[in-house]
Amino acid sequence: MAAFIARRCAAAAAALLGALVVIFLVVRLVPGDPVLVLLGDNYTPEMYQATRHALGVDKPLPVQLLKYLEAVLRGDFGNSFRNSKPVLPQLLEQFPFTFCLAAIGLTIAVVVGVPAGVASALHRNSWIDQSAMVVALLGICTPSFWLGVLLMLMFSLHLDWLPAVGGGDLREPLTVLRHALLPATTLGLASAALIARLARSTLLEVLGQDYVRTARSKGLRECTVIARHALRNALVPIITVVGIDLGRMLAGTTVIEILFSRPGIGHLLINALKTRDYPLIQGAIVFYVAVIILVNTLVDVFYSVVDPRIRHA
Amino acid sequence: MLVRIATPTARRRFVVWLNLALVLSLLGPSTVALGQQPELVLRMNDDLLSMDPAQIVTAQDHELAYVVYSGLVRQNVGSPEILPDLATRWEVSSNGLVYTFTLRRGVMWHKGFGEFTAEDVKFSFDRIMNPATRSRFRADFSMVKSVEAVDPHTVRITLANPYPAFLSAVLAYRPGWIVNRKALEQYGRQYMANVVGTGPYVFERYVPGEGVHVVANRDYYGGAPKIQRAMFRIVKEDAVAEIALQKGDLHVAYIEKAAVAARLATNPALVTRSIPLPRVFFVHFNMTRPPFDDVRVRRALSYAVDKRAIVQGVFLGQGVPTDTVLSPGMFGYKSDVRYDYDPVRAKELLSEAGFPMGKTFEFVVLAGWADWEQMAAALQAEWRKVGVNVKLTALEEAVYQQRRLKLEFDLLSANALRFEPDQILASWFHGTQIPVPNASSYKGADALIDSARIELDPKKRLEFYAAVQRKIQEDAPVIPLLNPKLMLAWRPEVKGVEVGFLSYQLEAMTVGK
Repeated sequence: MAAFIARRCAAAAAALLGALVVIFLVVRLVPGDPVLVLLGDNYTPEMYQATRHALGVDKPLPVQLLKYLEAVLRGDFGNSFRNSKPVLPQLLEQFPFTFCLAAIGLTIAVVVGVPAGVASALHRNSWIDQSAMVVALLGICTPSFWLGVLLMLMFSLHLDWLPAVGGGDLREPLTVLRHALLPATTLGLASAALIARLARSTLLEVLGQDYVRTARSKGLRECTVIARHALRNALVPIITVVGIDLGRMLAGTTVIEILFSRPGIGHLLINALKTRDYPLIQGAIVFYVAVIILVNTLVDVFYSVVDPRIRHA
Repeated sequence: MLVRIATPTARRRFVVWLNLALVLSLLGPSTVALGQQPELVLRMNDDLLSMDPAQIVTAQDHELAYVVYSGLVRQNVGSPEILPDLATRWEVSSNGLVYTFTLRRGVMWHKGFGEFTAEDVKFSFDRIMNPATRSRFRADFSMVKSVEAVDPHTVRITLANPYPAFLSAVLAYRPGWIVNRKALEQYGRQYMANVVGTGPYVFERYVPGEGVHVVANRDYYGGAPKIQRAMFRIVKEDAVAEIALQKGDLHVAYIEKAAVAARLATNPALVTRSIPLPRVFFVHFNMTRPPFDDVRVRRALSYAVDKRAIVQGVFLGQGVPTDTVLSPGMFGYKSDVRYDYDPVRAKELLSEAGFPMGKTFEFVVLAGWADWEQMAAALQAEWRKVGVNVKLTALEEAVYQQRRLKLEFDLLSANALRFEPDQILASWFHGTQIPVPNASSYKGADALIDSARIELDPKKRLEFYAAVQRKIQEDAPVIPLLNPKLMLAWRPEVKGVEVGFLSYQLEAMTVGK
């Protein structure tokens, strides 16, 4: 088991380094000049050169890349072009908001998605199945910004239960939770739909297997058959999708954070992209990549717990 | 007291109630102490970029800086008049070169940073002129020869050449806000979270991505503001601001999108006012490229646009069509030459100029800015009617700026927002400012602009400005389209809402029932 985890970690580190280089290059190959955005309408050619030099974007690309990698190894992600503040503290400061959003979103996705899928599979072709699958299809097709506005109109404006904008005060965790509910629901419902459809199809497949029939013929209670034998085996693809979904969800937080006027890494990233704030863009994307690699590694490890065969493959 | 819950059923029931209570407490009002809650929440449409007056360029930075800082003088709300602020009076020498300001006594800096003196003024202005500061306003101070602190309450500014717009274009504008040396040095890179000024509100707390909390400056020399705590909250989308206003998460907001403004105007639960701004939307011709080096082509494209229809159709009436680059209400505004919608005339001019029909030209548009993309589509349709084909390229700012600098466009969207005519003319229409922001590469009015900016006699200055505008209209380096209106919307319990230049007049507001 330890060797398996070590192998996974080494692969994760290599992936992160590769991502760092790719992100660094892609960000700079996209057209757009950070200096021009900073300077606006009134500037002289000398000011342009001075600013370029101050930001360090006048050096050749390989030199910039080496300097960046060396700094990152020391834990320094550089200073933002916009406000000259170090990147890492800015990301950490905003992370609780994004984490809260993604975590609650994922919880909603699993808590709604898995039972809906299981119910559909167990009552195959009944009205429960059909209505659940129609709702799931709608959930997948609905753009999150539209769903977000609908939820806002319903729960914020008409029912007046939850705030429409903002992220709450970190010193008051309850306000953060309150502010995260609507955006997290918006984020979670689309994933719930996906998970429900997947849970249904994998469970149906498993229910047709011989060992399920064996379990039933042993005279086990139906719920034991479903929970212990069928669902556990159907879980592997669901965990995979939940892992992949977290990446999608982190990306999705960007739209949601803008819509619900929340602080967060997505909000930071959008502003950084608009102004070509290279250090901040790199920092935010590397952060996302790191989270996704971490989750995927955890998912791999988790597989081996659920299904011991994977450990030895 | 310890509560003992005996039976399992009771325990389960207790847990259910506990959960329910938790959920209800989430739905209920926030647990933050009421005294800490802002009485008034104003919209900011994006995150802060800088709170250093040497660097402030965005509208949201300006709005906030306006309540935190003060300058020697300030612009009156809604008229070009200049009012005293940190200076109680000033004298200008007869040759227009020496400005002597008498400073207000007993003005205290926020957060215990001591008393405001002439040294602060000298420090602030020297700092902008120092190349190491890399201030965006260094060019605005290029005519300043020296700033002297004569005594703690007198400042003398000497100019190299007369510049009658000095008060309105420089001192009453962003670079004119006075900063505190000690605070800047003490906080360094953390200054943005610890802004210190002399204005009606004290910058209390900045939460990146969320907004800024301010508290009333009880010692404000203009009288203590009535609202004690206020928050500038970031809400990026106009449609979301609309919901937040109705719900009460926002009390006052600026709205840019015409569709949202039109809906709010008919909402009986809110008060709205559309404000004409000294802003003009226009289209640059790239005069370095044929056929736009031919004035007949430029005039033809100007005649081909039905500005009235665009104001009604795209801006839903939230604007005023215009033919000149200065705005109504601005000193020197005059529109002598008109380009009334005349497609027949446009076609005549085009054939006279031998316009290459069938060729397609590129119209570069800054994306995501007000209703510019819809307007660009309307312009494209108008020009197609007279046989001119344009391809629209909507670009985000970082790329748009690059195209502008390299003059890689045939037509280019632009907007200018300033309250002093010289700020517009000497930047967008003077040969020394090619290619940014003078993207048309226009040099035809240089002599007139130069004469106007040093003319001390206001009457003669007016005549110069009329001549400059006539010349620009005849040469048509740009097509001025309209002066858009900005909507200010607020909840009825907010009173005393006045409308300023990119600023909430927060110190005048009150909240009633």
